[in-house]
Amino acid sequence: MDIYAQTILDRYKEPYYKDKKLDATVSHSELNRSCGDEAHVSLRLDGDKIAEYTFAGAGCAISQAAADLLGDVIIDLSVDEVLNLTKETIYEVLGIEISLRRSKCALLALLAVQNALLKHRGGELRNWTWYHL
Amino acid sequence: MKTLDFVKLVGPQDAKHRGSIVSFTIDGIHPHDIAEGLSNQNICIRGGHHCAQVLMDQLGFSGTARLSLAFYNEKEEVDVLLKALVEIYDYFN
Repeated sequence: MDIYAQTILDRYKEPYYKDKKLDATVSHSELNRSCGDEAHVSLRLDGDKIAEYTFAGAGCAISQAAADLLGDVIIDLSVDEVLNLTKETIYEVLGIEISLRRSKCALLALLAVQNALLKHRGGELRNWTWYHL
Repeated sequence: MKTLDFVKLVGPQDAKHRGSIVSFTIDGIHPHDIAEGLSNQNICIRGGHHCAQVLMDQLGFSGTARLSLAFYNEKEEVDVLLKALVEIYDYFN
């Protein structure tokens, strides 16, 4: 049986960024009301760059792997670069086709990170419509 | 399904006290992943809260997988399901 790409399975079973201790500049939680999954993310900023990232929460393999792989993407990016990330970036790093049914699983951590940064800036938070699902 | 020790049936354990809809969980495997795995074997079930989020919270479940059998299902299809559940369990462990 081969359900997901090996990357997804690996990062689901052994996440790198999950439950790390860090001196967070900002934290934020988002909930996927379709399935109840929750992502709590924390970021430490160094100037305008993402220096550290961690996430907590439980969910399916796609949501957990996407949250973990997001760390590889955002570390060392600027706040604006992270805010400009699209759903396609996440789909690409996951390496499989993401159906509409699983799109919120894949994007939950990205929404949490982008809203954490917007909260830090004092801006208006995004919702799912931002991603044109 | 009770022959699979990793499957936890939700609700009455005695078939006399339940219908043909079976909610179940597998420790360490999210219901969506169970559903995705079964979908790969052309078995369509529903996974998640089933619009009963409050009950799921009360029961302490993140969700369940839910199998719905009907008069047109055959024993051979159930055998395929059981085999697929073993494969899913092995895949995630």
